[in-house]
Amino acid sequence: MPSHRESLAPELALELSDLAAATRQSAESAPAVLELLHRAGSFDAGFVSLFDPQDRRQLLLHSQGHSARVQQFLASPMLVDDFEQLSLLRAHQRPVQVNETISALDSVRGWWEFMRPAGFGRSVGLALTTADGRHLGNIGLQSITKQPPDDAYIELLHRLTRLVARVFDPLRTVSAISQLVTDAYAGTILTRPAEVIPLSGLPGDLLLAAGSPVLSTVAARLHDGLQMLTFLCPTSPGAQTLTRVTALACPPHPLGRLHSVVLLSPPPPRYGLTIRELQVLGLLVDGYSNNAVAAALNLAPRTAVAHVEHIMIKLAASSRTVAAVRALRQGLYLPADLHTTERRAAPR
Amino acid sequence: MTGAAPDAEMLIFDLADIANRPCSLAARAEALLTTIRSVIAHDAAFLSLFEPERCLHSPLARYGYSAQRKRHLDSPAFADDITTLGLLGPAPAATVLSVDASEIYVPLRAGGDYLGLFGLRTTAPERWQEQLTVVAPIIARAIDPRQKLTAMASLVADPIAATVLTRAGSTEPLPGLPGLEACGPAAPVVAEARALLSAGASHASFLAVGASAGYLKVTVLATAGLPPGHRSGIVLMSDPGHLHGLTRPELTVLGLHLAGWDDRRIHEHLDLTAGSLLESICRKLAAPGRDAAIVQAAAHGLYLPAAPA
Repeated sequence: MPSHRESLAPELALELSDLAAATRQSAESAPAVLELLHRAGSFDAGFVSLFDPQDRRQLLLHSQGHSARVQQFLASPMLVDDFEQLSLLRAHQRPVQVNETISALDSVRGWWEFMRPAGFGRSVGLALTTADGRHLGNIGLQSITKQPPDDAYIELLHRLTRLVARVFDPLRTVSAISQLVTDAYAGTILTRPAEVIPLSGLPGDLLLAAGSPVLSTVAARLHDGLQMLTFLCPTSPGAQTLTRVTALACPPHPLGRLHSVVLLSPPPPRYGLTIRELQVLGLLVDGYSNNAVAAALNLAPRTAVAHVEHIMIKLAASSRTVAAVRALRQGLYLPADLHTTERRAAPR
Repeated sequence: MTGAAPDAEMLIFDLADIANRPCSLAARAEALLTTIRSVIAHDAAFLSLFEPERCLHSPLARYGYSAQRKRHLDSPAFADDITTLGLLGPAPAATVLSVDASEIYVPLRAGGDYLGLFGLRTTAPERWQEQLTVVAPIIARAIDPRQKLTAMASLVADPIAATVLTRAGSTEPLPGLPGLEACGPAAPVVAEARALLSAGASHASFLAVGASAGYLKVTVLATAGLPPGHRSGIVLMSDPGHLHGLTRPELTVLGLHLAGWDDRRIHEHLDLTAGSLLESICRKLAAPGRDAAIVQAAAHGLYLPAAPA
């Protein structure tokens, strides 16, 4: 009944955008998505799988109503081959129907060897594609009936698929998190093997290129459960102008390759701190003693002490550690790793 | 499929698409207005967020209005008008026509809360009433600022409670999580969080002792810059994680150092030698010196904040 489904569309669209906005893990959302699709049109079994383009494999996230034998197939590489044959690995592919009219080529082996013997009469495959064309994974809906679904149903599924893709997009929370730095002018995503992925909506920057000192600093310092890191960085090597770097740890994901979102934004008020004092703060943040600061920056011990005293006055801090912690929390320091020329001798 | 129905349905999906787009609320609002314009002909429109503490609407996107009209839309007088027209309150109308029937206003609400307003100036606006009622919830989702706060909460793994702090000194719940009071007395935690935010911290964490005497990790994140701008930060409670075997006196000493107390004062206050505690703290945190240990403890939120003097 197409008219019935049309009235359902706003409700389903709304619930899907709520699912996409929730911060649940993909695996937890999968049953909810299938339940929602079930209301658009019934099926007897279904599964959600995520595609890992790097290893060209499918990660079975959730299945329901399937026997152990079928689940084995769903977790096997054979599934990827079937999807390939059915164009289901293609971006923006419309829903694909499989039923007994499909020729018995070994191209769609899974259907004939597993789904059909399990008693299913038809299967509808959905390709989950993001708005920017990334193939994220697939959903399969199996029914005992052999009757092909009507066009209106397929059209509704097609529309819903776009919204469903959003729920499973690993970059969704990441992009949402990046919105927290409201004045960011550049950004990138740092992955676990220290590569970079562009961040939707923000340009990249030379400072954020793969292997750059800024990204190495982030990788070295944002771990052990730290969620956020802010520091200052010269806009180019040796420059007197500074930019603010904010790194936000990516929440866990089944294909957990994302490390953090790294953003550049205009620097915060500096309380009159000089570049030298910001360098000293970078060392205090790392727990350097006054003597170690002097050694690291090639200063007379008395000069280092004077710097620390000035910093404490400017930050209205009652002790050097209070100053260091205040700097750490506001991102008011130049990390020692970024002015490499002068240190390394100091104890860490 | 003829007539207006497919258009309306397309509109819902297009708006839902925008609702999840990774961009600022203002950019989303722009995109929503552009999309709506392609289906519903009109010559002026706005999307605005309601600021409860100042009791006025601040615009996210709008076009077609004169400077004078814009001033009116931003004024407390307009917010009062909206109340009178019956758009706020427990049983609000789904849509309301302006007095001269040239404009239609749609209240945007999510989870029972009034978020803001969608307005449209067109000839015979009443014929769009039904369609606007259908799409209003999706528009509301798209511009709900709390969605950004929820995204922020995802920085903390498995939060168990949360509270949003406002500039005026009150608190708001974060949709989807119980308030801090679910974990024990919230007032000292909120006070410490406010102190950190007003000292300019963009993020900070510390420990609190929960109702069951176990430790909880408190994470504070500044939300300055997120519209409508009356929220100053968000406070999240989670499992304390790895405490490196630090004892209660050690966590207390760390908190006192971070509050700027000197050794002698700490010694007198706690009636013990803070120096010797710092030695064991350094060992447990594998820190090269006492300053390193204190900063490290602050970075990881491994301390019990000193009670305000």
